[in-house]
Amino acid sequence: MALRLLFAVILVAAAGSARAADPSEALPEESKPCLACHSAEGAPKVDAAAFASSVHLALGCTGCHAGVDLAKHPAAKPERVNCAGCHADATKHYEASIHAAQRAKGNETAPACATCHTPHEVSAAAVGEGLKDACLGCHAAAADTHKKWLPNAAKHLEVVACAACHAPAVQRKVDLRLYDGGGQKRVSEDLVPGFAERVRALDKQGQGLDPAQLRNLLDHLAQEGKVAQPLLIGRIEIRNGAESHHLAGKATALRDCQRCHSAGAEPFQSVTVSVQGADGKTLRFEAQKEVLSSPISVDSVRAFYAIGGTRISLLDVLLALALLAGVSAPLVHLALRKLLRKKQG
Amino acid sequence: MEATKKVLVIDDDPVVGKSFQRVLGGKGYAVISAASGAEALDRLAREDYDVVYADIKMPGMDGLEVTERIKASRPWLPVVIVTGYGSQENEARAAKLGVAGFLNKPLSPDMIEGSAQLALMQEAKPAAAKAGTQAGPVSFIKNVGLFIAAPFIGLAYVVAFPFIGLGLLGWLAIKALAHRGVDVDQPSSPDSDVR
Amino acid sequence: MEKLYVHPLPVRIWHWINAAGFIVLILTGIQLRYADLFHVLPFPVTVRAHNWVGFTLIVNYFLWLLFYLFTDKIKVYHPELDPAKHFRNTLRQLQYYGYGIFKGDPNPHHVSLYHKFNPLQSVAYQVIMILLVPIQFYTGLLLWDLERFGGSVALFGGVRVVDTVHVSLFVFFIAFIFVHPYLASLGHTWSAHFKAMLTGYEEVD
Repeated sequence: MALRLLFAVILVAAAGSARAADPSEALPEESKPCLACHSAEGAPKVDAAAFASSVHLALGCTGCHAGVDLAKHPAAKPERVNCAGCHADATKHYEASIHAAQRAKGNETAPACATCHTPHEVSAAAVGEGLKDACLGCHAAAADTHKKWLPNAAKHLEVVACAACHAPAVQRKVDLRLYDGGGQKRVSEDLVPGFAERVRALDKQGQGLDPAQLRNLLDHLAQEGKVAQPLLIGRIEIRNGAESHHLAGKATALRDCQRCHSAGAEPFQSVTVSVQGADGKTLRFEAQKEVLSSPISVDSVRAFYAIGGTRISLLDVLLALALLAGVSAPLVHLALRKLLRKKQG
Repeated sequence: MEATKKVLVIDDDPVVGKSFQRVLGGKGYAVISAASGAEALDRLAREDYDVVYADIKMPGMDGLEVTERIKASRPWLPVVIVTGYGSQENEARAAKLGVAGFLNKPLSPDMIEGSAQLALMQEAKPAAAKAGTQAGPVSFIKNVGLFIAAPFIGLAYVVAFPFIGLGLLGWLAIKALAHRGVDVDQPSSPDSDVR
Repeated sequence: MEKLYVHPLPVRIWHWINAAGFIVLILTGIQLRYADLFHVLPFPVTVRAHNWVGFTLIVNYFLWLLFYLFTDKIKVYHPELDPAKHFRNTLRQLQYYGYGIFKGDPNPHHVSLYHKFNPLQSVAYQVIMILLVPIQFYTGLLLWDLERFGGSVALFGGVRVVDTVHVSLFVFFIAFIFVHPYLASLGHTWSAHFKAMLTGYEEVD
C-alpha cells in the first residue's frame, strides 16, 4: 500500500514537468484539466492519486468547488466549499463542538472540516488511523496526558476512537476488523471475493453472525488460504457518526472506566465485522453481541478483549463454583470431623 | 583433643546404657541413655548428639523405625544398630537406612569403642563428600532439572491418577472389606501392620 | 515432641508476603472483573494496585526461587520418580483426609527435612509453584502493558487468550485460598502449622 502510494507520488512529481502520464485513469474526465495545473508547482497542489482513492472521487472537482469560471480562474477564487450541503447532520454537531466554538472566538488554529478530513483524500472516518493522527497532530501531548491516569493508555488510544470518550453524545459499538497476516494489513474486499455472500449464507436469519458462524467464517477464510492467518482486531467506534463531531472540552470527556469495563456496557451491545470495500468505504456485517462473551469465540476474537465488559460467561460460572467449593469443602469436612469425633468420644 | 562427643544409647534395658558408660565414659565421650524410641527422639529434638546406638527390639517403636525417623530429620547423624537377634532381613533393612554399623550382642568393650570411632570417622567423611558434590555443577544441574521436571511429572500423575487410583482404590476396598469380615471376631486390633 | 526446622527464614518471608499479596490480588481482581458488582476503589486505582502488588509478588517469587535453586532444600520440590510409591502414598494420604481423619487415625505422612510435603501437597505445590504461579505472573505482566508486550501477546494467542488463562488460574487460586488455610489447620493442634510458618519449626512426633 505504502509502496503503491510512493510510486504514485513519484509519478505525479514526474508528470509535473511532462504534463503527461496521469497516474489515475480512474479520475473523471472533467477533473483532468484541473489536475493538469493543480499537480504542478504554482497552483495549490492536489494529490491526484489520493483523490482517486477518496470517497469523493465520483463527485469530481466541481462537485465541491462549484462556480469556477475558467476564463477568470485563477484570478477569481472558487467559492468556499460547503460541506454542510451534503453533511448537514455532521455539520450541525460540529457547530456545537468545542472546535467550532474556538473558531468562532477567532482561534485560527481550531479545526474546520478539512483540517481533520484532509482535503482531496477524504475517506470514511472508520477506515483507517487517519483521524486519530489528525487529533494527535494538534493534541500532541494527548498520548502522555492519557498515560498519567489511564492504564494501558497506548492500547486504549490504539483501539478506542477518540470521539468515543470525547464526544459524550455518541453511541459506541465494536467493529471487528479483518486483518491479514496476524494483524499486518486490513483485508480488502477484492482479496476475498464473495465474502459478503458467505456471511449472508452463514447468517440465514439475518440476526447477525453468532459465535459459531463467526468461527466458521474464519475457519473458511483460513482454509481458502487467500488470507494468511485471518485475525479480527476489535475497535471501539461510533455508531452515530454525525454525533462524533460534537467534540466537547476535556472536562466533559468520559473518564468513567465502567462505561466500558462492566457487564452489559453499552459499547458491546452492537458488534460488526468489517472488511475494507473497494470504493474506500468499509463493508460491515452485523454480528451478535454474544461473539464477545461466548467461550466458542475465544479464538475467533482472540485479539479483542475489554476486561469486565466482554468477559466470558463460562468463566463466571467456574468462578462461582470454585468459590462454592472452596468455602463448602472445608466446612463440610470440618463438620464431619466434629460430628464423628463426638460419636466416638 | 576436640570436645566431648555425645553418644545417645537407646535400649529398653538400662544395663546396656550403663555398659556403654563404663567403656566410653573416660575416653572423651558423654553417654546418655534413652529407654524408648520416643524418649530418644525427644532428646534429639532438644540437643545435638554425635552418634546414636539403637537396639532393634524394644516395646513401641523398634530400633529400625527410630533410625528411619532420625535419618529423615538428621541424615548426617551416624546410627549404629545393636541387636541380640541379628537376622539377614534386619541387617538389610538397616543397610538400606544407611546405618553406620551393625553390632550383635553380646557386646565387648572393643566392639563398643571401635564402632564409636568408626561411626565418628564415617560422619566426617560423608559430610565432606556431601559438601563436595553439592557445590558441583553436575549435581546443581540435576537438582534444577528435577525441579523443572517436577510440575510436568506432577501433572502426569494427576492425569493418570483417576485411572490408576480408582483401580487401586477398588482393590484396597475389596481387601478392606475382607479384612473387616475377619476383624469382627477380634475387636480393636491395633493397626500394627500399617507401616 | 521433636522440633524440626522445616521452614527457613526466606521461605517464611516469601510465604507471608505472598499470602498478603494473593489476597489483595484476588480482591482487586474481583473488582476489576466484576466492577458492576463490587465497586470499592476507583477503577484506575484498582488497576494500579493490582499491578504493583503483582510486581511485588514477582520479585518475591524470585526470593523463593533463588532460595530453592541454591540450597539443597530444592529436594523438597523434587518429584517422586517411582510411580508405584507415588500412587500408594497419595492414596494413603487421600484415605486419611477422606476417612482416617474422622476416626482420629494418625496422619500417614511424617514431616522430615527433605519431605516437608505429604504426597498430595508435593504434587500440588510442584505444579502450583513451578508452573501455575509463573504462568499467572507472565500473563499478568502481558496484560499490564499490552502495547509493550504486543509481540508476546500475539505469540500467546491474543489478548483474549492471555486473559482467559489469567482468569482460569485466578478461579483456581480462589478455591486454593480457602482450602489452604483449612488444610493448614489439620496439624496436631489447629494452630500448629500456622505457628510453624511463623517460627520455622514444625513439631513432629
